[in-house]
Amino acid sequence: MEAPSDAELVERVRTGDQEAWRLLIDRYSGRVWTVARSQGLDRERASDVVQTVWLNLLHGVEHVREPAAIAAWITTVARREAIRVDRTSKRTISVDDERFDREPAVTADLDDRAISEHDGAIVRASVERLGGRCRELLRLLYSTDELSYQEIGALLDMPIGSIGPTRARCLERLRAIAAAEGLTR
Amino acid sequence: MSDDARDIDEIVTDHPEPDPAWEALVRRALDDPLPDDVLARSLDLWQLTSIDAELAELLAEESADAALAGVRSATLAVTAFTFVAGEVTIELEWDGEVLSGQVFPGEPATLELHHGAGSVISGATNSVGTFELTPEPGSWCLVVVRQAAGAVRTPWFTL
Repeated sequence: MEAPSDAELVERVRTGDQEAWRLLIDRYSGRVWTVARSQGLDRERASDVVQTVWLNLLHGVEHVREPAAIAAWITTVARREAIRVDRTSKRTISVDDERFDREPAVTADLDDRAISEHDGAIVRASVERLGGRCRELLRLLYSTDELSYQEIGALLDMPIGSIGPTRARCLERLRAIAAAEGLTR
Repeated sequence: MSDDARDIDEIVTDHPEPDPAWEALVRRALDDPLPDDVLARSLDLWQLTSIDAELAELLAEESADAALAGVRSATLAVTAFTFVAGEVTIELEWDGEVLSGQVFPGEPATLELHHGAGSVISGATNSVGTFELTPEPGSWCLVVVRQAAGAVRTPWFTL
């Protein structure tokens, strides 16, 4: 059976269909999480942003004018809310918090590209140090629930043609910072 | 030349395709899945749609930076809301720590403050219909007022 479209899910949520709500949450929560984390929010704050986005939708679902464009609406609200939370809380991620907060990286089945938790922590701390647009872009591109070029272009108001070159430049900057932090490859 | 144009020139000449091994390493380092409990809490929000109470409308909202008496250079941001549903009026005032309010008519009422994250705080009005609740700051919440005549709830609001 074909998965229901976004527009269909929104319409069904309007009529009180809980299953449609579950499908919508399943489909987009990961992306909301990625957008929130790309603003440098810690896990607790990013979790609040996810709740806020869904509450906004529940509260205003009858006012959604373009149900088919709900994905863009969700990521836009997520980004705006994450920026607001970041400005009001100014809580920063400590590298230690990040390191101990996560499951250890699994290395058994990886080849020579395997990444140790130590290297991973350096890369994540370096992404935070990059800050700004580079941090946001790299997180949007490389998180588990990554956004497409098209979605990123719309979200950041960035020409799609410039995403690739900007990505390359940000990766180079990141490499320089990580090297200075002691990463040897 | 604009900054943007210069940026793009610089990118095109100085930044060829990224090293795939480095890119793969970054991807692994930034692997950051949505935690299961966040997904579960989002699903639970649905339960809040079934709160059995008449929805009140926001009649007025005011924000004021009032000076805190006796405290030098301190200000207190006070936000006040008025909600109405039929004969029932709910006035709320948030000072950053405590949500105080009053229900009209002042018949005895029990209160529930629901947070977006799912937790609920209970309370009751005193003999003149006033009450105080202490919500989690920064959270979305709504207040349900239950009186003998029926239940009324506010829309979601943020503090």
